[in-house]
Amino acid sequence: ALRGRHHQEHPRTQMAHALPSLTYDYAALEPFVDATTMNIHHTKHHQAYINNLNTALDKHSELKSLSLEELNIKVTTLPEDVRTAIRNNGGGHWNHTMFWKWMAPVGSVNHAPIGSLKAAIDKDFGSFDVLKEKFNAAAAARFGSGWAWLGVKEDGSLGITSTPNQDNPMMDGVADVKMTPILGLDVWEHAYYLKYQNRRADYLASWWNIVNFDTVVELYDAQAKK
Amino acid sequence: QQRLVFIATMTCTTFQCIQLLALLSVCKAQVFTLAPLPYAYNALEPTIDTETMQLHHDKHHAAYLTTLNAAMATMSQNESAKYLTNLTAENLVRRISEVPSGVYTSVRNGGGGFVNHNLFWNCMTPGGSALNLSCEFTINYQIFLQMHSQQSFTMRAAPLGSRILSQWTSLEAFKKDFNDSATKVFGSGWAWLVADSANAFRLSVMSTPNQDSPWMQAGLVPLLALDVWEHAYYLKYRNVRATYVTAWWGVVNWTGVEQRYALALGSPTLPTVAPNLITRSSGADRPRPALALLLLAAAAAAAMGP
Repeated sequence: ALRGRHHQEHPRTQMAHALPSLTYDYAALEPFVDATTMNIHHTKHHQAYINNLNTALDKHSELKSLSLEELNIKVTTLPEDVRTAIRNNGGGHWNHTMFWKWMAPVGSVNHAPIGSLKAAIDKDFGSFDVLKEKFNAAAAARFGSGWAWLGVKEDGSLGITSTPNQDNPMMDGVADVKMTPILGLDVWEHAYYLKYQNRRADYLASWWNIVNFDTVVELYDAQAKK
Repeated sequence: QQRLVFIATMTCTTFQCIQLLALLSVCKAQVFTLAPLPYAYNALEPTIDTETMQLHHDKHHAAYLTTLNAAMATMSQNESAKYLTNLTAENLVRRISEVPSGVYTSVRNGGGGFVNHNLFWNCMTPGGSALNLSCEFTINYQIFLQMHSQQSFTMRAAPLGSRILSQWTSLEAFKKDFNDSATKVFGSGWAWLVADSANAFRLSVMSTPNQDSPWMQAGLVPLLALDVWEHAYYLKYRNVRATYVTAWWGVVNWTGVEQRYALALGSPTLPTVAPNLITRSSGADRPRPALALLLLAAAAAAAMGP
């Protein structure tokens, strides 16, 4: 029976990637991230990565059975004619899908680590303040476009790194430091320029007010189980 | 007499001070400075908004310079690297492979950013200036004599324009190439028109990431540069880089690009007009050297007298 536009005729083929909805309004992160930026960032930049990713996957339909995460991890093994496009746009899609979940309106979630994540942060960095300092340093030092990351390294400890453009630490053979990201911050200028202009440091300082540590804790705990 | 002694003492001390200062300035590293924009901040409106010009020059460009000057200070303390601090900024970037590893990134990013933006401001001018595409050329008498005395010579009429036409067929085709390059840069970077001094100054379009540049590749001469870092266009154009790139042609200073090309070719600044020695092409813009030569020969013969 037909069940509307989401009815799949070929179960093995995954549906094209689509823009995930935010769980909050564009204005909900004000005054730390402005509404216009959230709107353009979501509907234009993220959408463009998705469109370009779908176009690349159309050239190699066998890749459509891979999850977005797998596409990122295995990016260096992908066919050469789509490798860069998938690295840039598959990376962009994953990074931004997570980014929206790593933020939440003030007061709606924990904005500081709790539980086993807090213990891990205290152990690996000394304190949450030191973590923020090091994370901000990595974010400030990323020259050009890129992301700063907090992640779980292969030995289970926490690490901080940054990557250029739309790379991320999951990408085998690409990232300097291989980690499973549990928190990421977009430092492309489009993420902050309308409100902060050249003052990336101000953006970094503000951003911590809206970090959704419930998501971070969830990701950490899931990783700790593995 | 006491006053004279006092004055003599003060003069000698001052002279010693001056000597010391002179010595110090020789030992100190060259400090680069930020030149003001060649036009007002609002002069490129509406193509580039005033606020962007202010931020771009006073904050971004200034920050690259700060990074570069810090690297310069470090290198000046290093006996084997000190010589690098006497180079122009462009030559320093050209010779980046000689820079000590500890300051390599600063020179690449800060030095690169400094020279790229120096060029960028000069690639633009209020209202833009047109590229000379016609084969109308100008020549002055001295150059004519020089050329006339050789068995064969190359007419260098509108050298940049004619080179672009010969390589791309049309200015539109060139712009399309350039625009493609500019819009396709992923992340931050620049699009360039360059001439390859190792290959008969053949022109090509290229792009570089972050603050890298053609100066870093042996033999390349940057002629025209477009900044496609988001800070260059985001306040006005938001995510639509393609619109910025297309609009930018309206402020391009082609005269400056032509001069840069002429300099690279080794010719003096394009000579000034001698009206009776100008030939005009008719109909399609195709060079007609034979006719031009005839006219020039006639004019020269007349000028030389009996």
